[in-house]
Amino acid sequence: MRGFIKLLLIIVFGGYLALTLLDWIYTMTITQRPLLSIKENRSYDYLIAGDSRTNPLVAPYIDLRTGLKTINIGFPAFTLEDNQRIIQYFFDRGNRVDRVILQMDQRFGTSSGTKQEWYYWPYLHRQSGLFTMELPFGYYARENKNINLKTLGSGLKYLITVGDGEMKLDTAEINNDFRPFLYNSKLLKDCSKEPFRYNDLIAFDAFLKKNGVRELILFKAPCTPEWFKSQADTATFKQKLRGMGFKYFDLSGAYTDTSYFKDYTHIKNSKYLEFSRYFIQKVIEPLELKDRQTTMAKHTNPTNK
Amino acid sequence: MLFNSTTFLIFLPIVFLLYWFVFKKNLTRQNLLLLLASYVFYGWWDWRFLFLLIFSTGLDYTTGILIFDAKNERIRKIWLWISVGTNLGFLGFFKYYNFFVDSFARMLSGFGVETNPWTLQIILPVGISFYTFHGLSYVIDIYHKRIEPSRNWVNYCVFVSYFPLLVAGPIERATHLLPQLIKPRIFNYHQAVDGLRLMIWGFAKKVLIADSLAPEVNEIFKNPEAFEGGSLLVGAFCFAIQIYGDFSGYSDIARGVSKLFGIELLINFKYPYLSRSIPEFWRRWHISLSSWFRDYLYIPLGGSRTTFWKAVRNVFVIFLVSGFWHGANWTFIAWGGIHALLFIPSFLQGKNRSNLGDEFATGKWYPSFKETFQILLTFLLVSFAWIFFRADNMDVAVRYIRHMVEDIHHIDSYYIKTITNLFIPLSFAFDLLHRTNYLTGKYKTWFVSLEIILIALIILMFGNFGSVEFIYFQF
Repeated sequence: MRGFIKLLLIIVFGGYLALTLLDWIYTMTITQRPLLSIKENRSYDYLIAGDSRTNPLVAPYIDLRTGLKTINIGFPAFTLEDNQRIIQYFFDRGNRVDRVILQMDQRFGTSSGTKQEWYYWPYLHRQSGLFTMELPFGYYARENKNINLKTLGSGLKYLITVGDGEMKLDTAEINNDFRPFLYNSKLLKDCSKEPFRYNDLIAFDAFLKKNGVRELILFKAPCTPEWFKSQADTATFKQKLRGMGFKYFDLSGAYTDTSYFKDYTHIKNSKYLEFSRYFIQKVIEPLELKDRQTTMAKHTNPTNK
Repeated sequence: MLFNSTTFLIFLPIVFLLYWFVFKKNLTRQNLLLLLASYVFYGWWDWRFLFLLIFSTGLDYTTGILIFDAKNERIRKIWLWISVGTNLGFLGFFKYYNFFVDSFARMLSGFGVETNPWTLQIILPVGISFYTFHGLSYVIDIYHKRIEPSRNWVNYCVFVSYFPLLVAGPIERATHLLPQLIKPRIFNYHQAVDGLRLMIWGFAKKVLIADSLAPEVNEIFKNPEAFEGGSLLVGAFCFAIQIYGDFSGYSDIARGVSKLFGIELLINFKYPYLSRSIPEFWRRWHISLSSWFRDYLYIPLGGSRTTFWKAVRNVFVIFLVSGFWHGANWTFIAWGGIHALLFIPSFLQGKNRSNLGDEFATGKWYPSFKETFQILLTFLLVSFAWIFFRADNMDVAVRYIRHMVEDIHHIDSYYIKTITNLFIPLSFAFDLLHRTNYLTGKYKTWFVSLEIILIALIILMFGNFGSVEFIYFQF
């Protein structure tokens, strides 16, 4: 029995040491890589920002359908401050954009943290998905998409299946070759009970205007009916935003069929293109109609490839 | 309680410590602890069904003694049928009631008689098929005077309810397990180390292989027409590997956990996908169930030592019943029927017992060309039959196969990637390791520690967590 207890202790402590060592190696490696990689001196019609709920908006697809240059820099769990920081980085590289579309709901409004809080020991446990995403063999083991569409920002080539056909977009064709190497958000904080900070939004809008952005558009991504019902203050929130002069597109009730979602608030990967098409119709088309007095039906018709 | 849950990670060390440190010197108390732990383990899912388990245990315990003590053959037979009838009655009610009612109503509807079938909202008690078969084998063995009944209530209860095997087997025999429960147990270092290693390999099979394939398989079987024919073929292979990883992983964990308590369970899988024929596959897949049906159904019906047509009938009976055992759905019956049809050619040629006792590439590192072809063909046929097993109903199975055949030349590159998942070849590598008796070897502490830590790290980094239930829980 003594030998067995000794073995168990070796396994527990050895395992703990191995985890710490792996985490340290990973932290060292990740901090030595460039924080972000983004193309420079580009001009875009739309920049989509927000959090993980903007992932379903496939920028190359929006480009292709509408002819409008679009970039999606939505990151999981990003706060308003995080978004401001990343958009600043975008501007600093000589990029320009006409309109910014921001995913926005009541939960949006935590303060950001520092990278150190992110990349140490707890990381292995709480963010195993991201951990493997960053490792070369992680792609191999974990990529789990039902259509051949990689998560935006994965840095891999896109292969998009549309209807019966298939179009391949090489890296050169993808105008938003954006690689997320570092997230800078304090995830562990529960922001659901924190009151929305409207003043921060006004400051964010001012920051955009200062950098030549014509308009900030807000939208709320789809969620399941259950979640939708639990958002008691939606009406007040919406009213207040509109009162402040923002265009707010509430798409939260877009899909009542729960098979569209992988959890309460995130659309399934296999529905990304469908949602992108819906988004063009509901958000981009009304904006463009007003601007250019043209119809975009030809772009949004699913049979038109 | 699931083996791959945090609750079990807390539960197991507590029972282990009490078993070897507090109740070490008293066999009765050790068995009482195992019984209590087993009831907690089972009741964690739904405590109400503990009463059914206890009733079933009590019935078989009592009838076992009554059969043995009866002087008159007629009375022995009556007690046997009371036990068999009640056990099968419970199983039939909880598992098959709605199926029979629905099927009967559909049959009447075929004759133009419309009925309103009276179906019930019945919850299937987890493990009922397994513990019922434990009890049945026990009373049948007593009736045939192969064993004497246990006169110790606690020992018998542990035999039926022993938590590592309670919900998904292996289906134990009284001749194998009961003698171990009445012998004092001494802690054996090598047995416990083997147990730990089996557990970690079992977890790896479940979390790395089975659970990582589950999303693809679920998606593909939900709407087969949405996928290319080639992808459907890959989907069938994926399910074959998923169910093997899931079930053999569970069996390995069960055997491993049991070894920690000094009790050996039956081996349930012996690298079945390296079989060279369908009969060999059935000697290597879910061994405890197939041998149960062989001993308690096939042989009593006459087996192969009867007239030609009766022997063929017996083959069909055993496979159809085996399919039906898995669930109340025509898909399982079709699965059993397909295996019967695949088995019959070997049976007719008298080759169903060939390769008995040997295995592929005996004395060599790699199989011959002929053996490789046989292995691949067997895997292909078995995977085809799995389509029926996995499909929700016969309609889905038929649509799946039709679309797969019609569109076989198209495949989504994503599914090629899925089948080349790094861990799938690893599962076969593990089987090859099994073959070399790697798992029962005696190794130094540093080697075992390193092996377990390494596998644990791989599970942690690449494992698909979220407490996905084991497939065989539903049976």
